Amino acid sequence: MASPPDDETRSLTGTQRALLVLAALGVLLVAFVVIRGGEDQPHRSASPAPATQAPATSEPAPVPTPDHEAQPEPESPPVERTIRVVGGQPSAGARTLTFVKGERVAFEVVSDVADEIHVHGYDLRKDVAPGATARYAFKATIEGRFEIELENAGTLIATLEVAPS
Amino acid sequence: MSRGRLRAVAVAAAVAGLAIAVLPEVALAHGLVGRQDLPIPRWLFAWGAAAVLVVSFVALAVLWPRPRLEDTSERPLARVPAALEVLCGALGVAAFAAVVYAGLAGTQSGAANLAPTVIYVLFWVGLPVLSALLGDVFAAFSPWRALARATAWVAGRAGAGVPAPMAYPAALGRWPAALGILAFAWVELVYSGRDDPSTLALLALAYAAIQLVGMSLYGINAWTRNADAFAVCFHLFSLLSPLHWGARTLFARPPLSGAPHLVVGAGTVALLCVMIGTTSFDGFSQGRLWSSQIVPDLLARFVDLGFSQQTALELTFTIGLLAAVGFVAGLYRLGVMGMRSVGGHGAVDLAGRFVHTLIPIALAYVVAHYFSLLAYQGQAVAFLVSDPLGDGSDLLGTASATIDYGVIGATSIWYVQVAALVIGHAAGLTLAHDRALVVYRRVRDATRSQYWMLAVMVAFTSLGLFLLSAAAQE
Repeated sequence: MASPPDDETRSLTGTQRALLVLAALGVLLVAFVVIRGGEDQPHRSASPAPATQAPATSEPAPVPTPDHEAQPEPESPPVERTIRVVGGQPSAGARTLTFVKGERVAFEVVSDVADEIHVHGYDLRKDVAPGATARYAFKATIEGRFEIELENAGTLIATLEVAPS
Repeated sequence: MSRGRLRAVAVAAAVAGLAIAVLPEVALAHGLVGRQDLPIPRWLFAWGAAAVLVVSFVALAVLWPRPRLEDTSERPLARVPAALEVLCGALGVAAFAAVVYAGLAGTQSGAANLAPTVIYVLFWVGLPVLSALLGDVFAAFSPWRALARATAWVAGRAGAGVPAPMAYPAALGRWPAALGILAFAWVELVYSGRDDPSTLALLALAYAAIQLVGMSLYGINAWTRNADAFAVCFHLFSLLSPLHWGARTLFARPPLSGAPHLVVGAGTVALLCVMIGTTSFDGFSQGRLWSSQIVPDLLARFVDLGFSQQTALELTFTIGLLAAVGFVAGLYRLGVMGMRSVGGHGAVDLAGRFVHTLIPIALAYVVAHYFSLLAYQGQAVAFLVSDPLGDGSDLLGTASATIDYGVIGATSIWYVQVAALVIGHAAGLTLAHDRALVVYRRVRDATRSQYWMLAVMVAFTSLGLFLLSAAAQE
């Protein structure tokens, strides 16, 4: 056992301790609401791939509810959503395709090698022949980052990123 | 004694050699799942950091003047029948055999074989979480320990005199465990054959063989407490649990109160630094800072030196892994050096006396980094047990099950991650403060020393938050 400590410094009662803890929890709660409200935008990373549409959504005031309806529906897949595989490698490096949950994901892969293209997580597989194009169109239902691979070669050709709405 | 050790080394080398001889198959350079967590958004990062600061200051303010956790008592809950122990051991051995068999005989596609998912998800992530909740369950299920105990029991029954084990060398301490965890992390995070089922099965066999040799040389308990990397690692996590499995009795105790009873020997600090450092590297290596700034540079250098692309990649990742462990060790060391300035204790002494405060941090890192792996890939076990070899069989009728990614969304994962770090932070601070009251006779010295531990904890938690936010971010 340690020798009796000299209590010259602090002597908080149990109630005072409990109050302090409660006060701290209160501060945290307030901080959470403030910070949460202050930056309510869903996270959109400025990845090399152009995000679907990133207009400066002019929200009047920080509203602490998710902005489902604030998201405009994307009309058509942008032109840049083509992954070219040259010599078994993505010609522009493995880019990130960014979407928000609920949007339609659309992209195509043009490959000069035969392989199977595998979108992990969504578990979509398509065979592609040399020179052919594999087109993907599906709804972004699962959040996270998923590898898009040439399955047999094990080459990462792009990353699909789906952020919470 | 040296002859015994030589023998152990020879066996280990032979097993390792066998494993290496089978390895050269080039495997895929990607993880088992092909899924990563989204980086935590800025508002949550800010909130997490704020929580850490508030928790820290509250911890300073409500400092209790006498140790609370150091000398707690346990309450017996239930008797544990001997049959349960036998049953658990048998289950452990059966599971081990099944995984090894699946790895060797099944499909060599990592995702379709039972072995990689069981080893990387259930064993490596599931058991730490389970240990922290339910106590040291692995001690009962450990296949090699069960085998060794069964052998000892049979030998004892047969009257064959089992030679008394040699004394476990104190200087060796937990260094074998630290090296074991480092080796496992290397296989998981660096080695290109990480998802190769047959390689994993052979490594598992090699590991079990080394444990059996070690236990026969130094005794089952001494070896398991010090050198069996996984047993030691899971035991550390179990010290946080409110349950304690004693000899034939299950005890209840306040959470965290097991940690102060950690017997610290040589290598214990190293082990915890390895545990935290390797998890940190796993997070860091998913970030763009690593993959687009550091890797290309190092890779080019190694390729210039004449290494193949794959070897160069492995060398690069090895350096990263070791650097992360070194970084974590340096951080802890800095805090210890600071505490030393309070006076009365040397750095080595202090490093050992406070090392148990890193256990909650290590657990927090595991949860923060692997929670989603457990939540998603853990589901794969449902169909993998029905088709362990990936040959289309359906043993339990669940082979057609799939992973439901809807069970938990990205936002919930973020909350779990940040909550784990903040709770781990608070638990680490609590343990550190309690220990300081024992180490330092005056409350004021204890408080002064704890500014340093507070700095260490804030550093670890901030690092954890940084890794989550930087994981795969620009």
